Amino acid sequence: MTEAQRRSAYEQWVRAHGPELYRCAYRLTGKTQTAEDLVQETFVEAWRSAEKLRDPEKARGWLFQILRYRHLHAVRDSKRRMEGQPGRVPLTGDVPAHDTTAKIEQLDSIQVGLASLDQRLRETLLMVVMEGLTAQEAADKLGVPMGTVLSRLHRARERLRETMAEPRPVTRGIQ
Amino acid sequence: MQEESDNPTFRERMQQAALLPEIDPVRLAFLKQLQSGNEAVGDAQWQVLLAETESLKLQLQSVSIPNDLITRLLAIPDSQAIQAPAPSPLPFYKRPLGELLTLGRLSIAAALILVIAAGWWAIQLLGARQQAGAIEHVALLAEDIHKSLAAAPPGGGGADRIDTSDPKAAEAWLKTRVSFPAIMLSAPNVKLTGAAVVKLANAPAALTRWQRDGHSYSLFEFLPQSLNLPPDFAQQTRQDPSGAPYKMILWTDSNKGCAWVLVMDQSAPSSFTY
Repeated sequence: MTEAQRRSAYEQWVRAHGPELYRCAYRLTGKTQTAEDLVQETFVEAWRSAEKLRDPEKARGWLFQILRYRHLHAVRDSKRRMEGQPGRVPLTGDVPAHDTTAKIEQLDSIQVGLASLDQRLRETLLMVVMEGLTAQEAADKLGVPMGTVLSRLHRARERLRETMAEPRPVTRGIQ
Repeated sequence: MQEESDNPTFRERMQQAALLPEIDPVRLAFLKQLQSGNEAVGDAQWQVLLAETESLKLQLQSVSIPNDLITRLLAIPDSQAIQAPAPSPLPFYKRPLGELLTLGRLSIAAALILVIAAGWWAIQLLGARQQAGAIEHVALLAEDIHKSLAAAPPGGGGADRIDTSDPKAAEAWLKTRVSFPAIMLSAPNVKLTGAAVVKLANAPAALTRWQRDGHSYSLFEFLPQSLNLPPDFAQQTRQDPSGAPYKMILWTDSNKGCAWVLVMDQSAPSSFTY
């Protein structure tokens, strides 16, 4: 692959998949800045290892795979940092449990629901619903049985339904 | 926590299938079963779940994309090129002088020069101290012999000696005993009293004894290198550190290759020629 070909392929990836990667990153993290950083890291990695992609048809899946990998590392690093701090409970989601009501209000209802999901449930749901992987493909990438993927999908859907049905806290000024 | 349900209910399977892509074999298999079941209730539930899934997808997709995201992503290759490691530098002898003479390198060079200069100065100082110590040592050895000869009875002292007032006789006598030509002092009222060969710290030295205006003199002549002295050093005068009334004058003559110590009373005149 020449330098020009590499650059051309890269630009195509950005234009074709940049927005959907950002959407997925945002749904994974719930934070715009973190999502931007994640997508940026993904494309830096993609540019550096562009020659590893043998089949251009698989660029989308490859980019999502990098995104998930980077996110997984970020979550692990975050948990490690949190565990190092005495008296604080490691968070299960990207929206902290102690976050203020005002901050939660800034999120859309689906993001509130996603934030209530276990990391594994959220990741599996997004792989299938946003990335469009089949149950078997998701199972292969996650390294779990397909039944586990189906079970996670069901539980994620149930939990989302419950969360989104709950009345959301509303902040009001003092009358 | 048990993640996998071993026996999912029909509704659970329906929910799972509704979330899966249309091409998913699991979904297709479920749909096949649903269609063959002739269950109107099941079909109605399926339609509700599909609508719910579509709504979920739409909600998940409803994320505002930052305006400049694509621009920033497209700029990554350029920024990576800037951060790429520089090409291997040329060998130092091919690089321009201005590139080599950086502030850091000049600082290091200056520091090295300072270290070398300090080392050189320390070596010189140490050498000077060692030299001064050696001269002092020779002066004291000579003084000791001068004192012992002064206290010895005439003809005593045990050294290889000759009692003579004739400088030529003394010179001839010494010539056969030491490897260097002995000098004879010359000054008004000075008189030779004898000559001898003595040891200064195991180094052979020619000794001539002199009298002048009631003062005794002992002149020691030797090869400077035999006593670890430099071959050429400026004339020096030493006093006895214990307060004895003697002084010692030391000098060299590079033409003759010899060094001398003249020991005398502190009040004795020290002007001689040879």
